[in-house]
Amino acid sequence: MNRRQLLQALVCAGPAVWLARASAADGPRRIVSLSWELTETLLALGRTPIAMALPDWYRRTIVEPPLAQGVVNVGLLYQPNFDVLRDLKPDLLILTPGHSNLKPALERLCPTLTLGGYMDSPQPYPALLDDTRTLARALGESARAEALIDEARRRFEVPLAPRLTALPTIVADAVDGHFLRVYGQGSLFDAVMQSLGVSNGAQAAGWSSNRAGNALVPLQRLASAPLANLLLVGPVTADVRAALQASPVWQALPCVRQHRVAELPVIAPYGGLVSLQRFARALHVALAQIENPEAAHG
Amino acid sequence: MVNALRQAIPRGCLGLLLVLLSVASALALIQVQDLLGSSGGWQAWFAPDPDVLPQVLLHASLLPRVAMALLCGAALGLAGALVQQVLRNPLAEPMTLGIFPGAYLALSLSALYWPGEVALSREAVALAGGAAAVLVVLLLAWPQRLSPVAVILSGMVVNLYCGAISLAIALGNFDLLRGLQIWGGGALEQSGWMPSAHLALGLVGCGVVVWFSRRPLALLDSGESTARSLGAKVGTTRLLAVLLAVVLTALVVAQVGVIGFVGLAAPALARLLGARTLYQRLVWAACIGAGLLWATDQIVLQVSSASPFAAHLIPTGTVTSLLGVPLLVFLLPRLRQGLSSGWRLSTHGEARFALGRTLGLLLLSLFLSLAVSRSLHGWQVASLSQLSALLFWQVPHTVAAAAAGGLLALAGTLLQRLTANPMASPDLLGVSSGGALGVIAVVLLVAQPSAAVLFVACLAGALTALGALLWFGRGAFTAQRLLLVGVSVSAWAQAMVSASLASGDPRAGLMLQMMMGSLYYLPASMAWASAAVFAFGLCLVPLFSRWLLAFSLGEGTAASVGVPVSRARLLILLFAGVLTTTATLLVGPLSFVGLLAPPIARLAGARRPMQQLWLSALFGATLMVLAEWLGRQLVFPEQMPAGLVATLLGGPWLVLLMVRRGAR
Repeated sequence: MNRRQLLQALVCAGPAVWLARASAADGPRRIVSLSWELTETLLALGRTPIAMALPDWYRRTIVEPPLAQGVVNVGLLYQPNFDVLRDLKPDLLILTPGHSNLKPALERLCPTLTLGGYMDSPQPYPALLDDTRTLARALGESARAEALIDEARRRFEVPLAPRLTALPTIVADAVDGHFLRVYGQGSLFDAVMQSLGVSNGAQAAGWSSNRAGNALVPLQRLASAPLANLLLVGPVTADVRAALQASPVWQALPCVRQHRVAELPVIAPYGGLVSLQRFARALHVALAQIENPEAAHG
Repeated sequence: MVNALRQAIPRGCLGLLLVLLSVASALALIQVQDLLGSSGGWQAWFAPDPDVLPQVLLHASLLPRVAMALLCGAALGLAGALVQQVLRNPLAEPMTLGIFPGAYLALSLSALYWPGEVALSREAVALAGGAAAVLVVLLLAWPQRLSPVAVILSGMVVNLYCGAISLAIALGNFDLLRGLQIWGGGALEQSGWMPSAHLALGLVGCGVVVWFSRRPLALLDSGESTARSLGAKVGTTRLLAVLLAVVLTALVVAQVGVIGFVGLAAPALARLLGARTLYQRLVWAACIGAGLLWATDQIVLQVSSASPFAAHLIPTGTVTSLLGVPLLVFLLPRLRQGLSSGWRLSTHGEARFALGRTLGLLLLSLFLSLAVSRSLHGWQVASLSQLSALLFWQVPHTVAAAAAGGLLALAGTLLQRLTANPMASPDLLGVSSGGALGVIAVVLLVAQPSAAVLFVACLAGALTALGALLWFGRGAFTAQRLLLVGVSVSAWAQAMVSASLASGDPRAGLMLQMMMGSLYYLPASMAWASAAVFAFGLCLVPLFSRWLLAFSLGEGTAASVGVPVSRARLLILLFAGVLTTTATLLVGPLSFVGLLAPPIARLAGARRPMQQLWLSALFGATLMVLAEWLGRQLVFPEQMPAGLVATLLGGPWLVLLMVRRGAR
């Protein structure tokens, strides 16, 4: 490639100019992330951001891969502190579509990369793979991305044993003693369940989801899905658990009476491939435990 | 009371109750039918088979919910009738007296800071919060001798203020308070009989106390002085009745959350439909309240099980609030005009016209806003290169804050001069809330609204609110009633926001930002445009100075010196409306700067209208710039919206203003 071609390529590439430059210089080093979920993918690709929005929330809600102590807090997710950003001088700022109004201003401080459209996408799983690859290209870590994707695919390719998937399963957050936030069509959990051969009870019951793929459902509506197992995504707080225990409706639900309820660990519903693999693993463990409680205890 | 019932049953009340009950029970029977199908006979109602889920649901969810709706409605109807009796005020009820928002705020705070202990003492916390709020309201209205308008106005202001703080908490702890938001909307979902049994016990207790104090309560019918001469302890009776209302409200809040305006509607309907004596009013208010809430709840239940709403939650309490606010406005004409002369502007004091000092303050706050900030290594004054690196970002925000503050101060001064009412400010008149409602409508209807669309929506909303104000103000222009209408519009806007917060709508976050007045996402063009509007406003106000001077002598005097009163009023209101719209888009509907700046300017010695306009514009700009700066520094590196900081700072000032005015 001669100089002229290189220049042409740079001009034509437009917004990807810095991408080309960055990969040439072995990837950006001072990365700042404005999304917890994208930080997960970043860490999975082997890079630690120097700063991110509300790192403590990452440690509470995403958990894996662990985030090193000493990562600087740049403020709220959608209102990063410009004084801090200026002082940090990042060479890559990772944004989501939610930051589109802010992008022109942020670009005056540092190069940016917008990812994370998968969270609102009607087909979130393929979109997540695309985003993972795009981020990896920007970091010069494409090989690691392919390894990560392959690993996930291998896990999702193998359906669970038919005895575990005989019944539909509902995956939900317990919001309080009366309401569940159920993950239905358009959620990543739903995509993983489909590929593992688990039928989603929310779809079977015909509950429509909002754009982010979830629906707020009162407990008693679970009566319309009497066969479904119920998996509660952690953390289930102590007062919510107490409220559920005290609720006659909860106690009367078929899944509770037949001990077909299990708690999952803390897993981010919009997280990346690491979260989804953890979900697949947790799903397997939980369904196995429901199917055969004694074996799980032993 | 049984005797009283036997004496004469008001036909209208009975008819309404029957209609409500038959609608509600028909809907309830449909739901029971849907639920049970063929699986249950009568035994399902009393002794459900624990193995048959529909029967358990009927027994543990549907029936307790009916009981809860009936009990809450009755409690609120009774509370409303009680306070209306002792305050001689047809608009008094738990919501308009600030009891509900106070109790709710206390509960959210305790859930946030002492999460473990809430379960033990929800009632006590709610009771303390409600009592504190009603105390503040009565204190605020005391200088006006608890005149009906003053009580309601103070109540609605406390209502808005508590609502603003609750929204601020939600802003910072969105996920943590998820359950609380649903509960705050007044969702009647039940599981089990415990909560309703608890409430029933409380209601019976309160009913017994009412029964024993029925005589002194009834004596108040004949007027305060007559009651006193007949030997009634008027003060004690009032205190007792208000306390009872607080207890009833606290019981309801602790179980199901905020259910607004049932206490307003039920006694009003009872009175309208022929309940004359106190006995009748109390009994029928309770009955109609029960029927009203049950019917509302059944309709909400029916609607929310329809498929378009399946992914969302509709809390019944929010629905009653949305229906209740228009009712409040509709009932306004029934208020007797009852404001004493305490609202007059004082004219004494030294005249120290301190333009220079004020300019100095503004410059200082501009310096703070641009150059001084917290950083990762503590406080710092930005170096020249650091400063210039961020000028593109910070300058528009500072300019917009200054412009918004100045615009609100100008509008506030105009309105206060025009109405000779120190409480008149664009925030309280509801013009800005009208704008916010326009924005909310667009956020709900349009998927990705652009800035231009938002501006047009806000302008349309503000002008609609202004138009409504003018329509209400036709004929006799009674400033206090307009204030009440305005405050009601603001309450409506807040109810909309909390409804969408509770429903789990992902757009709620955007709406919240809008209501809180964050300057963060303001495009630079908008900042410069608002600065231009501000400059334009400053150039135009001298045109009004002669009219304003005449208006401060009273409308009669103004007319006699040749001011075309109605045309002048219309023009000034319209002008203030345009200024307010611009400011609302920047800092949200509830900043209180329009309320704060004019009296500060007056304290600084500005007497003539022009002096006051200029000086308060400077003060307004300074206040808002400081609020924006504080919002960035207080919770560094996170931030609080400038409008919210201004609200939180402005609220106590409002209290001070009202109390001091009374002390004179």
